[in-house]
Amino acid sequence: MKRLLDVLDSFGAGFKAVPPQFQNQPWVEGMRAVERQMLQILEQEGVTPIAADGKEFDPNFHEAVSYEPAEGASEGQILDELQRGYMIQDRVLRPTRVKVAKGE
Amino acid sequence: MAKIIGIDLGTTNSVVAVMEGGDATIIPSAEGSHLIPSVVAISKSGERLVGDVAKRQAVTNPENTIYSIKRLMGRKFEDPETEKTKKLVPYKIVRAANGDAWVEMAGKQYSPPEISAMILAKIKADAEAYLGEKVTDAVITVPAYFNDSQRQATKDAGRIAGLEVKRIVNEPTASALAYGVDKKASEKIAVYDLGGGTYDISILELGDGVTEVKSTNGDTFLGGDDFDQRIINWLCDEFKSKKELIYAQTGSRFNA
Repeated sequence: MKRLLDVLDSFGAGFKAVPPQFQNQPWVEGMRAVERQMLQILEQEGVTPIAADGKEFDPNFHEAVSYEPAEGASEGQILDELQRGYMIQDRVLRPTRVKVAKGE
Repeated sequence: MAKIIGIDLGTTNSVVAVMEGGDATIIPSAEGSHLIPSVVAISKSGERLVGDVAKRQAVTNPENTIYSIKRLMGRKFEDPETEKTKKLVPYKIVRAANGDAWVEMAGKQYSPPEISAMILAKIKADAEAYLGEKVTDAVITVPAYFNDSQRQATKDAGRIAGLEVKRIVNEPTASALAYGVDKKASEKIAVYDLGGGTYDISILELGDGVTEVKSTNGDTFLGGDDFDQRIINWLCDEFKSKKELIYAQTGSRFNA
């Protein structure tokens, strides 16, 4: 199951690389539908994404990749999601890799 | 009969296995992994973390995250190995009243067997959850070059974790047994062990069900993690040299 997550990562990386003028091309939309299809299948198997944006860092669900001061952010706040993690039922299949804010 | 678990208490990671139907089966951790990082931490909220969870928060809490504790097992504060370890780790290594090397975590001092015991306690709990029964007995492997005080420290760690250590087995001997060489006639073999933080090679003589380590050598400060680090450094250097190009292509800033 864990290895399927690599495919989701590739979808994510692919969509990031789509030039702005092609964002609404039907074939891009089509690939997004394929991604949704895969997410739906995974969800039926109990696999759900782990939310990270704007949350407090929690090593039970997140893996800190970097720790740096950031303006307007408090200690332990998640600044950025670098790789999305997933749960399978109530267990972490893979933690979400994040950037964590360092307090003053 | 109660099951005895076999533990590879490693410098970087640990593994636990049990004999099932004549074969050794690796017991997955509560996190579903075959490897348990040999990492212990006290979080900023004062919670004790062990294994994957401790490792995931290491960069946010380096001074209270203990790893590579095996390097300090049975060591004196003045030992050259302690000195070397001190240079590599971000946590504090202190001198205990009896001259041993201890570590500090969240302002409290711990002996290396106490830290190892926290790892063993997690292993014990995960094994109990997997087997559905209490586990009290264990066999723990140690490097062939471990001296008496290092072996004793490993036994102490087991006792603190509530495990009766039935046997301390040399790592190369355990490898040879797992490979099944005990079934063959007498012969001489080399066992090469490339770990995360160390590597060693041992020459073993086997025969009549007896395994003898004839000689062992290696580097206790060179392992797979060092290979990883070299690759990371190389990638970073490559990336830095191409930074201008990347900046031009993506319009985003990379803080190297």
